[in-house]
Amino acid sequence: MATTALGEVARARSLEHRRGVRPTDVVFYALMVVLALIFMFPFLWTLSSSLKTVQELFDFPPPLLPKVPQFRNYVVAINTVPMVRWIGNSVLVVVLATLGTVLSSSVAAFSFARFKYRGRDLIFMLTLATLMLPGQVTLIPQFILFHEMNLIDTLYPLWVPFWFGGTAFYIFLLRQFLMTIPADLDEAALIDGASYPRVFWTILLPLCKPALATCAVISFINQWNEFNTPLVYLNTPEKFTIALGLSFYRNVPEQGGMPMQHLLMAASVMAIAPCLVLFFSAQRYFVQGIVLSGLKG
Amino acid sequence: MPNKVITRRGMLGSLALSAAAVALVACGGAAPPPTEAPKAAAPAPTTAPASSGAAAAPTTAPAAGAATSAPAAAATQAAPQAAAPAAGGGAKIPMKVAVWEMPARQWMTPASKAWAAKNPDVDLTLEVMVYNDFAQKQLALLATGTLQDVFYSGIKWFPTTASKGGMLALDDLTKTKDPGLDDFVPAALQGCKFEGKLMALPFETQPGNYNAVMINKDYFDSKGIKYPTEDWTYEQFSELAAKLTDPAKKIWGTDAALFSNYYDFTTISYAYGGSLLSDDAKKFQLTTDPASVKAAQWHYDLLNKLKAAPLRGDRDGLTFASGRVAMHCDGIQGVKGTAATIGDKFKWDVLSGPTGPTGLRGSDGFVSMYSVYAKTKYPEKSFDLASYLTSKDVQLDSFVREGQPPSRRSVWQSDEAQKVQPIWGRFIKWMTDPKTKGPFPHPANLRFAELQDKWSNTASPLFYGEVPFDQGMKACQDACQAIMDLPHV
Repeated sequence: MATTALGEVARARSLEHRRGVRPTDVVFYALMVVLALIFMFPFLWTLSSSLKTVQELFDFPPPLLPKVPQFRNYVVAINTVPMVRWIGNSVLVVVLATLGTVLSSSVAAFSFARFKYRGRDLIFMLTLATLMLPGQVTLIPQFILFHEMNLIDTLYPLWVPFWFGGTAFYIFLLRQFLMTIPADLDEAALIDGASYPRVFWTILLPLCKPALATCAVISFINQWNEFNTPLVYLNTPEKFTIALGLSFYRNVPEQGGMPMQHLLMAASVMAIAPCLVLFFSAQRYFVQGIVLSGLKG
Repeated sequence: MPNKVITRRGMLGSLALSAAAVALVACGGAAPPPTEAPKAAAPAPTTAPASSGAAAAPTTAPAAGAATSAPAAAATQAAPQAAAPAAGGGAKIPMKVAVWEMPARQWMTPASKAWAAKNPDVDLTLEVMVYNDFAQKQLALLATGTLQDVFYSGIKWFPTTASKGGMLALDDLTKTKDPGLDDFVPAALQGCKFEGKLMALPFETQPGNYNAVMINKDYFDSKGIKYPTEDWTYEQFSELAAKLTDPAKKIWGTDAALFSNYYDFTTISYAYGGSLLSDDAKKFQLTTDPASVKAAQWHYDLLNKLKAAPLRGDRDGLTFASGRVAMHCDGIQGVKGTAATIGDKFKWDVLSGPTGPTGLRGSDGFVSMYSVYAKTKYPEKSFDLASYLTSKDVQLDSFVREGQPPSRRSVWQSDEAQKVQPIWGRFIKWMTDPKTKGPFPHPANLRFAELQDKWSNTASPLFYGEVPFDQGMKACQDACQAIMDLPHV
């Protein structure tokens, strides 16, 4: 009987192997390719536009590809402004802000998830309530704070706040994740003589890796694209981040000026390159992030 | 001596600490020289308008950066002096000036440097302000008392900053040292006043974002239609647009959308002899002012009756340079840039926007200006800098290099301007004509941004014919009046 069943399985596998690609697979993959192209189209269009002349950008019907690729656009885009410096500034800010977000949010989340103290739920609710505060409300008080500390026109205001609890969203996300981890693990470690910081660092944090990665990825994207904070705090072009620096290539209709769209496209491609690298190297976490948070970053 | 063992953990920890230290230092960093700024955008060869193949087209504007400007040259020559200690060995006066980040207004950096070079007793710091979002930053700087000694503004935001006490009244200073007030376009100077006091000096002015009409001469020729002349009216504009529209070829007679901003629509109201806002700027008059109703009807008919301009869905990707628009409505400041996108595709020309039924033209009196911070410790020096940045020499330089519409009559009328395009001479006549109606229509409660938002949300469905005309007019009127009824900001 058992032999027969095993034989059936072997035969089925063999058939599947011999059958090769099924028609449904072809349809499925074709559909996937079409969808991928649709979703990639905006980026491909940006890439193509970055290699066109200004006149080509305004042709009708718009050509899909440039007649002669203008790689010079990239050279001009880099030479006109301190592009490399801006990308470096962005990387520095993003890394420090993300690190601060992940570390401080997880500590706050640990407190909310594992300790019982008077007013805990109230504090947690207040923390969540800050999600409803628009950034503009806290902008000026925070600006005054950093001004008093003589930190205007430095990169500090762009990342230091994230070392003081991150933001409510990340605290909430990590708290919810921590609550799914059985408290038995903490208790076992405590019985073995571990301190609370050790329980947090050695036991819980490694188990939170998926949630931490999610926070890191979302924080990275948010920080990379952040425009308002650097706009307010930075005055010297050399200290700009890339999101702010790209505004150099924006044309404002009421102010006229020469068309810069081709350079804007080239600069944009360069600006999103680090995000692309991050995406391909942490694709798994992105997917987890979407599943865990319901956000696409 | 026993070897000291470095553990892997220890080494990684040390490396992490070192990296953190480097990062912390990099975040603050020694400030670069304050006058450093990105180089002026060098136009790619592909962007320069071709002079061949468009003999009649006014494509003779000099390329940006082609000539070394007087201020730029002065800055280059005198920069070392600026860095030298002040004469007499005294401490330098620390001053700050705001400059734009846009390549379109790079003149501010060399001009500020040139002034610093002439004033070695001043340590001038240039702070870059992103034009599109400067109001938000200005508010933060004002709140912390760190606004630049000399800062720029635009007519849209100027009254708000002035009302918050951020600007120094310049009337007394102009009596001591006249910056050449008589030379400024009167409407521009008027736009720099708040509650009767002069709060700024203008460096730029123009009559509106759609008041220069660029025509595709090749297309006119192909249709056998005569080019319009400067004395044309809005009705003639409509008729011409209808004749030029060719649905089969997907070519539109015009892309006019003067309803995009309420202040641009105001220019048609003015031209029709009325005004969108009441004289006390407390009432919105879209449905109560007969001239504004006529102006609205004209624009509605252009899109919906004559079908000579595209509706909302047809505007995507529609540009004059694509050859799909016969008459393109632009601002005088946009002509040079639009010309660059055309290259040698077709011949074109530019003329003043149409007049109203009585020969009037409207102007929304757009002005950009430099102000002195109310709390500056150095009002005379700051005023001197503001005067320099709005002086004739600097404006001529910014006009030649970047096509900035100047605020001084002498620059509009200069030979340099006429060489670029005769339209400049015609525009200054328009702007200084006593019959030209203005000024910029600010609501009395200074809720400009909210009014503009409401207008955008309600005017588009109206003019695109998505709601019946009467219903759309009422919705727009009610929404805008509701904003004007709110308390003063």
